[in-house]
Amino acid sequence: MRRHLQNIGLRYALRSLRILGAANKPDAVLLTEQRKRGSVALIWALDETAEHLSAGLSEKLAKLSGFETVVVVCPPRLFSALRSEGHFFETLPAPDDIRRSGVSSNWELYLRRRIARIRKNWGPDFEAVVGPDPEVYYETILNGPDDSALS
Amino acid sequence: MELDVLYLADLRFPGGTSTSLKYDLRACKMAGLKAGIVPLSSPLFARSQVPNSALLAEIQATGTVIVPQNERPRTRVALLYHPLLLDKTVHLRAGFDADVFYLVVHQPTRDRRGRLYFQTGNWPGLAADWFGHDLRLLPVSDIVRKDLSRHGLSHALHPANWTNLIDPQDFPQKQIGELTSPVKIGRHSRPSRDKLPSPPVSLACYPQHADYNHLMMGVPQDFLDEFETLPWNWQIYPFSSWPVSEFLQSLDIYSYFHSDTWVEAFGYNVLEALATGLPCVVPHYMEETFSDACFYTDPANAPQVYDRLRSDRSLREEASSRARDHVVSRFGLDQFAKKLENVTEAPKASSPGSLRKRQTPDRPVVLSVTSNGVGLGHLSRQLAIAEALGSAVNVIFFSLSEAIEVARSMGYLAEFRPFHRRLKLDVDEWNAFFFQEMREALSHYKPTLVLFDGNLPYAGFTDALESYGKSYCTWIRRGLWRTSQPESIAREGFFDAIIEPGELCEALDTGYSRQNAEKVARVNPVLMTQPHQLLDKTAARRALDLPDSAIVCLVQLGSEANFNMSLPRELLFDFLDRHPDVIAVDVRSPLHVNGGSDIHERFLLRRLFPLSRYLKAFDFAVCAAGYNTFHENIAAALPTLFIPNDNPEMDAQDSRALHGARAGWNLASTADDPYEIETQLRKLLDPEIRQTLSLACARKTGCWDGASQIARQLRIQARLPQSFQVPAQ
Repeated sequence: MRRHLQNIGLRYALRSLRILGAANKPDAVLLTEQRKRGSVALIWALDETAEHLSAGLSEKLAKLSGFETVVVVCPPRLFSALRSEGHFFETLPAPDDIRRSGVSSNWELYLRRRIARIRKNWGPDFEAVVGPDPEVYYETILNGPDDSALS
Repeated sequence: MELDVLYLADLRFPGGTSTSLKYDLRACKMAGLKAGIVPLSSPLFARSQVPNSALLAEIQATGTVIVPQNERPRTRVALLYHPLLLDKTVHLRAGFDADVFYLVVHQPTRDRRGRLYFQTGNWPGLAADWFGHDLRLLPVSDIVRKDLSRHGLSHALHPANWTNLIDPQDFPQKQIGELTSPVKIGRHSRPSRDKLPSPPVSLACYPQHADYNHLMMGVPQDFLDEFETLPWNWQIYPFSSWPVSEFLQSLDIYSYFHSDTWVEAFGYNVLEALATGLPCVVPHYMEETFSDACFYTDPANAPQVYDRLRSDRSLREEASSRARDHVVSRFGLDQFAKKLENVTEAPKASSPGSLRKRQTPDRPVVLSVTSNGVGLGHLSRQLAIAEALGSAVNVIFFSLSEAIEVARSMGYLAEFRPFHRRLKLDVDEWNAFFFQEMREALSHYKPTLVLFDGNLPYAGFTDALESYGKSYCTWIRRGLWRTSQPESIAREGFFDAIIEPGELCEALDTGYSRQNAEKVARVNPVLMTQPHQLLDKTAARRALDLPDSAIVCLVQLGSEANFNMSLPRELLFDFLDRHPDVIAVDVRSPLHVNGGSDIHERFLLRRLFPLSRYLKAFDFAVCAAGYNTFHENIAAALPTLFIPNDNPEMDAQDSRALHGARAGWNLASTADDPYEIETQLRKLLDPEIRQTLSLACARKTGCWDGASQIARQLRIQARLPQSFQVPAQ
């Protein structure tokens, strides 16, 4: 469904979602029953570097304003701005923070599983990215031969 | 890590076991030897039972090494320091390599009626399987040696005892003079029923008589309840209510008798009395330990001994000298080197430890978990503790606080998970989500220590801790609860330590958080910034871009997420209108929305965390009385009008404001009283009043190191390293 929606117009997609009854999100544990019945958009904005919402992210949020639930995965400094607009948010440790932390562990597995859980927990009908995809953003970690670069 | 002696010990014993370890550590240091400790938890105590404070102090004073969890030390001698630790529930991670390993037996295996204290049949198997050594026993006295021998363990006995030692300098010798009536006869012990005789025997050896006063420290209530009326000449003192040496100094004669089922393995209390030079009257069997240093008799005949001593000064003088000399010559700290040498053996060539490749361990991870709260209290305390723990550990934040950026901006790896309240989720469903997230994080980060700061540990969190089961778990929990919270108290069992950051208004705390006081360790108030770290007024104003000459008022009325502060704000605006020389600065935390310009040319907005370093920028403050703001403002001697957030979900902020006002540290008003707020604001314009408040605050010194105290405590209890060496590449 998600991939399909990415190729059609948003307005049409939203209408389709409502018609199809988007409540079928049994694994979306972070949604109330009411939100499960509405549409959910998930935006990956991991590489946002500005102190405030960037033009790109603001534009994306405006475009997705028709969704009942919008979740943004972004650096935590953007949380308060997103909260004030009624959005939800998640975060993932930035690659630089991971390297600096000196935690030598299986980051590849951890990040893959975490990214998958974010998708499962929110059950998005539509995904968007501002900047790189999560898999690209974490490319050096996810595709690295081992964790030696991290420790 | 190379050691001379490694103690695998439970630090929570309240009596002689801990005291003897304390003096071993001191003696070891005096002998120029290196001791280490691996703290273990025996099944005898509740999980979060607070450690023996005197032992903790000695560990710190002697610089005794606490072996970090991820280090495997090498030692000449390893001592498992109580038979209760040879138990299936006791886990030893990382292990150790020792030339020789012993179980120090502090107690006979059974009481006089044959009731077993230990399953000795398991000992050889557990010693071999869990500690990698054959069972070898070091009794603390000949009394224990005979018991072990009598019950089939003679083959494992080492020829030497591990005799308890004492520092006579801690027990100045009592000067023997003329006695005044009534004679003071005393005893002390931990408050266990076994430590006292039955009521008829007690009345025989501690008789109701005009010539005697019996002073007893450490008497259990169930013993006292056996008497219809207590003898009028008994003076009962709670356990540890006096320093032992002071208590003993107040006595003329020491007399110790106990239940007829109990066998005193050594009698450390008697050793302390002998060190003080008190004539000691004790049961016959203790002669095996103290030879001619005591008077040995039956309980019924004890009064005759008291009479002899009372009437014969030279007998008392002779007994006193003999007691003290005996202690110095046989139990003094200088005996330690010999004691250790007696049990040392040459390393075995085939010792598995000698073949093990030694690796430099990773920096241990501390996972700091904070609940969301309505402000930054939980996160601020965790950050203060993280800073105090220093670079020897790797602190990772795992928080429900939307202000987690503050931890990230301070250089910590910070994770966030959404909380059910904002999502309006069913709590049980959210707990299932949080369990999964927490469990995943525990497996990934493998924390040595998990620190939780919050009022109620979530079920998903505690379930994940139990499921993972490899971390030392500590609950940092501020007090001043408004009501009893049985659900919170019921979660105490999930934690190895519960630490309550101190409150200046402790006297007004109703104590709901300390229903199990023996499980809750208390420390001084926890601050992000110590008073000596504050920027001076000029530097702080420059940093906050505030004018040098104005009167500047700090406004911190909280996030207002759960309490209406609109009236105080309104009054503050009126106040500014009337006083053009005053500038107010509302300092917002990162919880507040980005941007936002100054409300007025004299009501400025600043976004800052942590604020505490800049408090000298302000001439006075108007603040809610949250834990951090209250203590930080007083530590910074900032004259403050505290307006408590009275939401019933919050801590008793009104107690803080009220206590501080009575003590002269601050002014106080409720949020719904415009007249009082107005009056107090006017007072703050008066430089003399501000100076008086500031001086009163400045008198509170030496009590702001709660975060360091917690860090010190956790280094010992959770076995964290003091320093970290970067592994060689």
